[in-house]
Amino acid sequence: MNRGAPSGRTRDLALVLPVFGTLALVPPFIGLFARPGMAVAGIPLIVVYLFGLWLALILAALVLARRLAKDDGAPDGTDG
Amino acid sequence: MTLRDLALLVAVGFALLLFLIAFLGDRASARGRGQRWIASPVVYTLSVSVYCTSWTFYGAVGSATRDGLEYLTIYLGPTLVFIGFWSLLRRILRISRRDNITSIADFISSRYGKSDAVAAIVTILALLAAAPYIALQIKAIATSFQVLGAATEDPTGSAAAILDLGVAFWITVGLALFTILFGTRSVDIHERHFGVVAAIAFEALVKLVALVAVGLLAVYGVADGPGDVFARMAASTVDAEETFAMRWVGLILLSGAAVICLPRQFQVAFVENEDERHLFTAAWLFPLYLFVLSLFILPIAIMGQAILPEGSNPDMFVLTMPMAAGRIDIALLAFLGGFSSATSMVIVSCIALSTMISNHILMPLALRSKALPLSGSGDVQRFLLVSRRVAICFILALGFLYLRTGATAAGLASIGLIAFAGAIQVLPALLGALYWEGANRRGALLGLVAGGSVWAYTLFAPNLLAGAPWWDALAQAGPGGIGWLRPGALFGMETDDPLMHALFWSLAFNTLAFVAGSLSRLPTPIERLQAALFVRVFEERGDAGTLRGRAATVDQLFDLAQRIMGADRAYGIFRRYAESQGQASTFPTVDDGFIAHLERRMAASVGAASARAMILSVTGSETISLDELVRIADETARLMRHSDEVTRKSDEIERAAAQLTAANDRLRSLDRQKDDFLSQVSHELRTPMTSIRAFTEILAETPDLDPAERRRFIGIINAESIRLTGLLDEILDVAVVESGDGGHPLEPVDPERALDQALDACLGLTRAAGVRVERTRGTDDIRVTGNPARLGQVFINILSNAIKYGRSDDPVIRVETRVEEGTCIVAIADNGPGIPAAEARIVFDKFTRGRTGETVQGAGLGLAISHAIVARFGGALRLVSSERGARFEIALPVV
Repeated sequence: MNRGAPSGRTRDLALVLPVFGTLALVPPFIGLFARPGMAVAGIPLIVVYLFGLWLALILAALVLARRLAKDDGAPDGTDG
Repeated sequence: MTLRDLALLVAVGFALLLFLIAFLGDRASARGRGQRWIASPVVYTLSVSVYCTSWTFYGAVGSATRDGLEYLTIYLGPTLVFIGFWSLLRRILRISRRDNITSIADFISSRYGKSDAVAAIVTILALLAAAPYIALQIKAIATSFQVLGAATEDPTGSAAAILDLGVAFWITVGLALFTILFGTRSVDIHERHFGVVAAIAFEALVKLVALVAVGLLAVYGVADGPGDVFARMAASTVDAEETFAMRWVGLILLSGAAVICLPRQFQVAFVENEDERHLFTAAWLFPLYLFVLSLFILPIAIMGQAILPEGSNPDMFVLTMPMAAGRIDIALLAFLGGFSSATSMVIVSCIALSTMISNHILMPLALRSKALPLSGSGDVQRFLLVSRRVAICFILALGFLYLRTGATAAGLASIGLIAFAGAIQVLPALLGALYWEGANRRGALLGLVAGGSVWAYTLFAPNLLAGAPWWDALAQAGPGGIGWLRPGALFGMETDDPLMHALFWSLAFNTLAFVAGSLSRLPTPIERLQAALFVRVFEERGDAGTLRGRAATVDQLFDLAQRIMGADRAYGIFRRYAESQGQASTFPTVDDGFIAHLERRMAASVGAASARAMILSVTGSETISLDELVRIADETARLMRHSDEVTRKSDEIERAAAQLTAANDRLRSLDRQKDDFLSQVSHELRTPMTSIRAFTEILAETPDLDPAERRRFIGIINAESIRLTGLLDEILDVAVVESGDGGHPLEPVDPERALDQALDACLGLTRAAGVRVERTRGTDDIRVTGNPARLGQVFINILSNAIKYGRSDDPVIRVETRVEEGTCIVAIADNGPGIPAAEARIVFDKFTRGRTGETVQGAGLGLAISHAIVARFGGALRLVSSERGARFEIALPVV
């Protein structure tokens, strides 16, 4: 354990986030939202889903990066 | 002035502005000022956005028009890679910064034993893949010129379907000049270009503003808000069945890999990076940039289709839609955005590729043929500059030639995807470099060659050569008539998607060859060392050994360094290192550390493989010496020691935990004993109290009690009171002895006499119990420290214990004395059932009563009091044996 190393949970989340993002973006999951004719406020459901998910991933990355940056004291540290 | 002239003027003015920004950026960083804006995470993120070329700016709208939501894959892939920056990007960045990596080819060759061959193959592959990509940019700029030029007579842009090669040629020449002036003004020590980064960051902003402006015009100018946009959307645009299949997944993988593997992306993300922490911002800001661009592409595609006539070129909607809407100003802004995206891509690609060509192809050739004029100061530097300029011209010429073949007739996006598929052939070698220590040079070479060949055969060649009769015949029948080798249907895999077909087979062969090649032999020492340095980058401690001979003199090294970096810079490096060694002279002592340092600095100019070759030419040790092998062994041993230490520490912790548990158990048992004792004491105090109360009540309530009876009752009350007092005395005694026993001063005591007195006192008890006492005198006229009364109390206590508990058919108590090393030992042993081990441990604790299963009287404080008394005399009371009867030993210091 190194002083200043990010907490294990944050790092685990950082590893899992892209995996989660990938699963949510590929079939079969994405097929749930690719329903012709379904729309939210005139915008097709699939468009809302894709851009909404995208934005959520960006926000999650923002929060994680902030936390990791705060914890990751020295760039030359020896944490892994 | 026609619109075309205006566009030309704007383009030239814009280029001048870029020069100004680049100039200011270089100057600010040279003076160490302006770090705040150039070296900011936002500028870093914007420079990474060079990912969005004119393929994005113009082509994505075309792609969205043809294939609906598929265009999103090109931006979702990089998004996934960047939000997952922690595991992959950070690793590459850390290594690149540590080793002064100059390009992706340098990175990969560095990992696989600093191999020239690996670097050269990566370079050639990158060059092949770049040709269509650069052709795409030239085509986009040329087409945008043509569209603007013909705006009045042909607002749909369909005339531009036939590319004007003359325009394209002059654009190519302009780009070459522009890039040479921009990127090769000097050979930077870190291969970093602050001015260029500032300029492309600015271009990234222009792209964004321009596309958002066109997008807003589409949503609120042409259409009536988002709802209206989607109301006019063709149903096929979001056709889910078509879009979300294998191709969707494949394209996300392709683009995600490309955002790392493309030479220009590697350049901006890892080589030009100023601070590792910028990645923490780019991790979300770059995906956000892509998000915003993608968001506005869809409405532009929908509204372009809606308002432009049938047959309009969808790749130019970004330009033609504002024109059709009568907004020439926005059209010009869009032109500038397209110009920005194309030029920034060309500049960075050319810088990255020319560095690779000069470092990994021209330099090794020159070194081998000894053609390099290594005579004066800065020779190598001049050679590098010239070779890079030549390389830039060569790259752009290649792009133009690709354009001329007419292979770019397809949409912008499909040309870009061909380049992507070529560039990501380094992916297996790259991932292997980062995560698999067993990967070696043979595997990397085989994988790159296999993947590159399959890509070239199944995707690059068909695109380039389609229309040539010999190729068409081959593509129809297969080479030599072998049907299952047809480039479009390898092994009979018939598909209508040549990209996915090529991607699958090339990556499959690539990975297979890479793994098989790596497993086919053991890594060499230098591969093993580099593998450890790459895979375990976050475990690095100190400067792990690099492998150099020590035969070089400092003069030779300086001679070499000044040829490559120029005399001033070389002098600076030598002097600073000498200072860090604490030397008074200018030149440092040549040790492994210095040679490794120098090699890294040189690697920043010429790449790892060339720097190593040059250093080796001076140090003269081509193979690793015994010394160095010993060092590698030492390093391994150190690692193993470290791991042993960790194991040992964890053992210690376990032991400590066990001790804590034991102590805790003991505390619990003590606590339990105390509770037991309290309840026992209160019970025993209660019994006499109850009887005293009962008899006093009888006496009080029965005045006419018969006097004899009365006397008997008073006698009982008296006896009970005495018992009660004795009990309380005993309890008090413990407290007194424990708190210091102030009333009994220490003096010399004859132990034999004290023992005799104690035995006499117990005579009544022994007789009553029928116990035989065997007395042995082992001392002669000695004195021990103690107090006669207290010592007698101890002996009586232990004797009475022995009498009480030492029950057997023929009870015997053996009393012995002896002197051992200045200590008088009095042993009192019975031949009763003994004391079980579990009880032996706690027999001297307070409140411990009786032996298992026995009912005895007393508060159970005897041994505790005795123990405390002997301890106060400076001696010890021990229970020595408890197998065949209990044996107590009282050790007392002889005066």
